[in-house]
Amino acid sequence: MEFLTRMEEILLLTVHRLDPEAYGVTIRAAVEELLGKSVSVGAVYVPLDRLAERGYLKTSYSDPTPERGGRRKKYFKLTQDGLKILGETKALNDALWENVPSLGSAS
Amino acid sequence: MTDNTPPQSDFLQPPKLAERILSLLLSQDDAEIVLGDFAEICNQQNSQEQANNWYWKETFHSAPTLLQHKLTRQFERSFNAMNNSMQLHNKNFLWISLLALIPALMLIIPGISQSLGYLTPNKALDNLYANAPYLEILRSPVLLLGGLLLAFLLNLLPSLNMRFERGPAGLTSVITFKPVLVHWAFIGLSLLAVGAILIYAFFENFGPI
Repeated sequence: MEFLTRMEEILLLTVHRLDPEAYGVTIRAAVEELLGKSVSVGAVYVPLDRLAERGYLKTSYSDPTPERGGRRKKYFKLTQDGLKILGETKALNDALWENVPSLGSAS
Repeated sequence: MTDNTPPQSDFLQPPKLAERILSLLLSQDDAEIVLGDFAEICNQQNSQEQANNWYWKETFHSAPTLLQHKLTRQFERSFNAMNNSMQLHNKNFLWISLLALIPALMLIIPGISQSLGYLTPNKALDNLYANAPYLEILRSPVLLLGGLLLAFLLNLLPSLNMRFERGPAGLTSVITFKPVLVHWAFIGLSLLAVGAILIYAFFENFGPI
């Protein structure tokens, strides 16, 4: 089984949740909301691009829009491999947290 | 692909210099998408001043990651292109290797023949150098050792398949050996020639007088 970094896991889940409106701006906003802190455009775009190269995401393009200065959006969508690795990661997380003693007031 | 229509005035404009700096940090593939994301978020700000501040701040925050991404990609592409070019030109490499080995062969073959008693003092070769003094250059150590090194490398590189591949575990280098007999023959010949020269040099210096 391949492993994802925490940021990769967050990005894949966010793309899946936002589908079919998952592109750089919406993904960044959702990640910022989740983490409660500012995330740079580069810190979102670069791992997304790598996940696409690794075959976990597929991409498609919109028409150019004026608010983007006449540039296109790049939409991301999970592939079968992406869905599979998310399933494996969830199973691993569930197993990891199973039978863990209470964390007390920290949980 | 960018739209050539002029920007509309009811949209907040990104600072030109920051946009230019950002575009230098991006590969051609990434530029349209990342600059588009920047422009869209810039447009969500409340005023032109706020938009400028956000754009500059975000440019500095994203710069290291984007630059590293661009350089890594360029390195991967250049390396893979060089590797492909090696495959295309390997027929020329064989001819160059053969020429590069001539100085070593002209030194070694008569030497070995004399040692084995097949040739007695090699008058023919001495006459050749006497009649064509410019051929003396073939005895230059630079040409001799340089030729051997060139022949070795020109045959080793096409015999290895080296690529950078991005897999599930990240960027990895993959090296495989290709069974191309003619290249491995040249590699073997180059190494034998180096061995023969070293043995000759050893006996010349330390052998019984």
